[in-house]
Amino acid sequence: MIGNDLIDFRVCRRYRPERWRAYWSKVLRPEECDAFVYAPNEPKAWLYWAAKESAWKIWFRRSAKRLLNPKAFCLSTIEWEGSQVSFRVEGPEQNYQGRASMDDTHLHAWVWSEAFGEAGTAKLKIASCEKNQLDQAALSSLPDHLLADQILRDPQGIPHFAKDGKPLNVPLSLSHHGSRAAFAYVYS
Amino acid sequence: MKENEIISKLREIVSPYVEDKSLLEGVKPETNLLSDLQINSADLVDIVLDTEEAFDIEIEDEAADQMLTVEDVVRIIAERVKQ
Repeated sequence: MIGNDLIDFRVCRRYRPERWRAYWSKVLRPEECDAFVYAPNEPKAWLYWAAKESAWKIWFRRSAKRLLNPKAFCLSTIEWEGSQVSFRVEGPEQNYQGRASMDDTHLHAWVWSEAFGEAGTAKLKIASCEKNQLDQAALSSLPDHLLADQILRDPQGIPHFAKDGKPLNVPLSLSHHGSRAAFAYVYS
Repeated sequence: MKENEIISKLREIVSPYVEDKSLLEGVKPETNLLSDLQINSADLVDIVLDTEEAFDIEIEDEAADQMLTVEDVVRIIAERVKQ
């Protein structure tokens, strides 16, 4: 399973210091607070949201439980190397490993369940694009042996690559924020 | 506080977070904040904070987790305004 989330810094709200603290008090677990050393509106802080949202997408796909409480997920082991970062997310019933990439305008995070293993992501495709091109960009990125002609969303909003109306067994995650979008999938 | 008063105030709270304002015209109790109003999930935290401030209430994490539809939010607000 794969989950991803995109943050477009250009459309993020600007928070006053007290509102910034109030916002993150609703998102962070006590054990996350010591590591959360980001100044108000510092872009790197949004890793916490993107990582938790990415993990939630995997959780929701498996459990169909609309668990919207970000405190159900706990981010740890954060290691930044320039604009890249690796991290771990502890969640209900399972844990996740993840990566994120950041530039001046965006942060894109993607996670996979630890049970799936990093080896399971050997053939991982991640990319970002303009929001109105998301489905086409994801479809055109598929390797030749995977035939899909559309992306279907089930009644829960979960996306699937599909051919002739039939979903493919390719874990797919989509995200959009502002005018940008991103996708992540694992293929074999 | 009457339910229609809560809904009216709630509409004002969520409006800044709804990009397509036409979606607010058809708001019903079963309207889903994320899928129907297309509110970004990161904005839900702001909506919780704005709701707490507007109604002078406190919404615990477990209750915030339940704020999926308009009727969910109205119920949570009504329970706390009474207190």
